[in-house]
Amino acid sequence: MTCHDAREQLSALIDDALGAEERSAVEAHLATCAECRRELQRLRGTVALLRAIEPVRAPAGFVDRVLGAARPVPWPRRLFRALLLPWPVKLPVEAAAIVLVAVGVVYVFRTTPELQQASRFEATPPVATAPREIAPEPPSPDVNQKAVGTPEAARTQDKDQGPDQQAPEKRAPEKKVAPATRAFTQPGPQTKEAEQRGAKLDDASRDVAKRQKDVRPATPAEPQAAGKLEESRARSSAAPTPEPRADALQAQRPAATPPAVISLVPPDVSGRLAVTDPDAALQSLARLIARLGGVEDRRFVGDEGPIIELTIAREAYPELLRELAGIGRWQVTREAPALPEKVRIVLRITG
Amino acid sequence: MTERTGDDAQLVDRLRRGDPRAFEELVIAHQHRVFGVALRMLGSRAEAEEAAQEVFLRAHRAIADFRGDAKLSTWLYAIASRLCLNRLASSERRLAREGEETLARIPSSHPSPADELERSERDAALHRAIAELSDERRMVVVLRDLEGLSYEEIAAALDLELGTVRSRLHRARLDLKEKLERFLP
Repeated sequence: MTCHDAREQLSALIDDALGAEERSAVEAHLATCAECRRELQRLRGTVALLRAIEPVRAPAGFVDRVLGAARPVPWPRRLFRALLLPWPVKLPVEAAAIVLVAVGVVYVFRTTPELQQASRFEATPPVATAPREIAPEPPSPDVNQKAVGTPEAARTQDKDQGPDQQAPEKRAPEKKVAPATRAFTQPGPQTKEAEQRGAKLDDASRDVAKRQKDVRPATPAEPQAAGKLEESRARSSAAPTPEPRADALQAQRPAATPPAVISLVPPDVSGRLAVTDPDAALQSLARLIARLGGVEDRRFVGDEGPIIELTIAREAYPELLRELAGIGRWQVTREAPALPEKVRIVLRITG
Repeated sequence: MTERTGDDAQLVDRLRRGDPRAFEELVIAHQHRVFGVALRMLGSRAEAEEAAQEVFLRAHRAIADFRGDAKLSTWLYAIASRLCLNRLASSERRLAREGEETLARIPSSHPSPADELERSERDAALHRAIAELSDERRMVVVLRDLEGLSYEEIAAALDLELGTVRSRLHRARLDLKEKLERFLP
């Protein structure tokens, strides 16, 4: 046996892990080799140093801590730990949570008609933006079908949507008005009106004044437009519900039909009535509505001229169409596939 | 390595039945061994306690996997050594250890009196030498010379051939001998 071979076995010799044959071979070599004996001695010394090391003791309380950790954790805490701790590992979970929330928001948006409607107003053609009495033409038939027809429901919508609903309306005239129609719009006052939408009742009466000013372009010959609208309302008092004076009106209406509410209720029919004399057309219309037993729900000034919202019995609708043809050029922009018993019509008079 | 396998079998039976007292007995009986291996391998007491705790929790969950042909202690050493080597192998850990001799800082369990200055110096050199061993060699030395496992038990715990254990242990001791030359006779 060479020195190298013998030295390879020294550790096993110390540990008494050699077979009998191996052991005697190594011992025979050691008997003749002083250098290997010295090597063995130093190796024994090393092992002795190692074995003299004080055994380590687990820290006090270790058993309790292990038992505590092994106890089943209540599931909410387990979930919390699993999701949030330790954060570097769980970061993907947090990212997934954010994505989930985002998807949820999109889903809710898509499945909530009110929100959809709010966003579609962005794409709506310009409509009058008078704060309270506004009943702009609905943006699309799609929306009309989804929207709710009762004031109660509409009010709920309003509540739910708040500024979201109003904002697009507010922007609509600025954004979407075609150059041709811009000539008829009055951006200044309307924008202000829009800002006041949803404001207090006092603001509402100011709105009326502004709205009445808006009538001017449509009725250039009438300098006292403020009084005029009231007059025209008075003339239409043939309607079953007599229109009260403007002041009283402001006090009553918000309670029954809050401002933006009306704009959300889609009419069954809407269209434009192109006339040469809007003033005369308004008078003719008021008489016509009264004759057909209809109700003029409200009247206000839009971008292009006066807008009348009325309700009429379904049976009287064909007669109305015939008469409208006599007043001006009637162009339907929307008509519900099945008309209800009481047909709600939004009629926009253009010059 | 003092418990008899008969005791092990009984304890394992109770553990498998979900006897909470059995788990406590297991931890009490093996805490110092498991913690010792973790401390010698990882160097920091905090990390060693965390690892040792994890060893017992894993054993608790995996008691069904325990084969009765080995000692419970060998099984626990196997879990502990795997866990420690895995931790040491993680890149984070390797970076942290660069240029650092974590094990050299393990305080001696006895404060050294002034007349034992040499011994203190020797112990420091010894711990440093152990710490400087490669992870694999250190593990074998710790299990053999500090924990007293047989070659067969080490082979079982580390899942190695007996010959590998033997040569690895010898290399480790030669490394240590070179570094501790001045303290040897």
